[in-house]
Amino acid sequence: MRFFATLIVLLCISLSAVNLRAQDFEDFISKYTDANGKAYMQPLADAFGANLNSGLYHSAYIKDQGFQLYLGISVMNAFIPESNKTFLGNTQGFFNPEQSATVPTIFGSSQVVAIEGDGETYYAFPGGLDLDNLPLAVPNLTVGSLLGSDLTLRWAAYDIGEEVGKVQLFGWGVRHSLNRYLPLESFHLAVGYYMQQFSVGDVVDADGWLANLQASYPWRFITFYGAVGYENSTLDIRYTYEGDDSTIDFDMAGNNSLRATLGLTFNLGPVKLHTDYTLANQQLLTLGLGLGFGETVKMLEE
Amino acid sequence: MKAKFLALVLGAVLLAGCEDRTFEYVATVSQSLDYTVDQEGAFDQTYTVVANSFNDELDLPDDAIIGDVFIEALSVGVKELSGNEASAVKLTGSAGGINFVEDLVVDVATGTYEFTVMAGLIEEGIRRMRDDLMGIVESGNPPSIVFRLQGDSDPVAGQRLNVDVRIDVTVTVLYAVETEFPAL
Repeated sequence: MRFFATLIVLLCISLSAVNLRAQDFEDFISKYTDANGKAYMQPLADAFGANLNSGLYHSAYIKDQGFQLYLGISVMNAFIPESNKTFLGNTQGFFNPEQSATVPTIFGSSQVVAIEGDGETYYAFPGGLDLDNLPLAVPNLTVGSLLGSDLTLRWAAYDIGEEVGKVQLFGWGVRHSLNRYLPLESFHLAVGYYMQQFSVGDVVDADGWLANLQASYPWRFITFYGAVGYENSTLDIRYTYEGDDSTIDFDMAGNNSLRATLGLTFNLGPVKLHTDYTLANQQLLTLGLGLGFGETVKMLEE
Repeated sequence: MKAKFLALVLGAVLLAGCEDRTFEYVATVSQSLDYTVDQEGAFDQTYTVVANSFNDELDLPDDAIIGDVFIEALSVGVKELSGNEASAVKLTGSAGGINFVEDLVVDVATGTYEFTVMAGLIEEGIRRMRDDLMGIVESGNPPSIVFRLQGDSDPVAGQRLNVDVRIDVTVTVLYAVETEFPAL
């Protein structure tokens, strides 16, 4: 399980250099190579997938033609609900008699849960990381615009050692303004599609996509924005245990689909400070800071 | 006003740091006890688990703080070798001189081991096994544990036995490690 403590750190700050030992991971999988393992990890898939699909926009305004650029960083924080901190685990192997118990997920209590069997035998379910939040920080670059469209890119990579390999994040997205077709004035509408990929060596692969309808309205130096969308995410974890060559292979889908987002952007000259809250199965708060050019000046002048 | 607001937010973001947190881990190892019985009638054999070998297999981090050791389960399989005449064996096992199972009847399988739960475990013997393993994990003392296996053919005693007996002991070690972790 120690591997997953390390993994969480990586997922949180993306580019941290941390010590990582195969043994830590093996201590986890020696217990969780089965259905328990998938249930233990599922909340991570939900939270991380939702984070990946966030912090991608802060206005729906896209010029019809001309230079428009935003470079910044978005920090997303998924709030871990109490319901995602426990699951019903089942004893495995030759523990006798078979029993079920409510035990921690990866975000649950750090206390190991041990249940007693025949003859003073005990089955121990690993504890979690005792987390209420899962943050993720990601750099963003948005460039436009051509025919009312812009392009968003995300990229980060860091090599954390030969045992695990490289942590890598790549994402892209395109948006198209609907103001080209609709007689709207200071109210802006756009549709967007975003794709994200995250990997940790050959062990972790995460993907996410988001399609949404975005709207925004400028008022003085503030832009109110929001979106409704549909999202999808997956988290795949694969590892071969050195002890007996057994393999874990968790392919998990994030428990997220429809989402609604409401937010504010403070236009402080070229400095853009934005925050939004997403209502979905996995709720989260986003905070972003960056430099934007040609994004709102014309809009504010209007 | 805008500048102050910006500084406040930036400060809040940058203040998020790390803290030392203690996490509990669960390491599980399976220790196989192997016995080859090739004789007529009652047998009495031992298998010695050496502390250093067990700890090497466990391979805990150097900074691990041992919390507890559990015996999770025992399973047993008996595999037939050429010339065997018994259809089952009756087993009594002990660790450190105290029985953890008595007169357990296990069918002899042909070809490969067919492991079954070792039922009817005796608390006193399991407790002794657990205490000895705790000592091995914590301090390497005792330097070894002798697992003794006695038995005979069943239901007819005294038959020709030529079998491999394997007992798998699943051991769980709870340990803690202090780790630098983001303050979340």
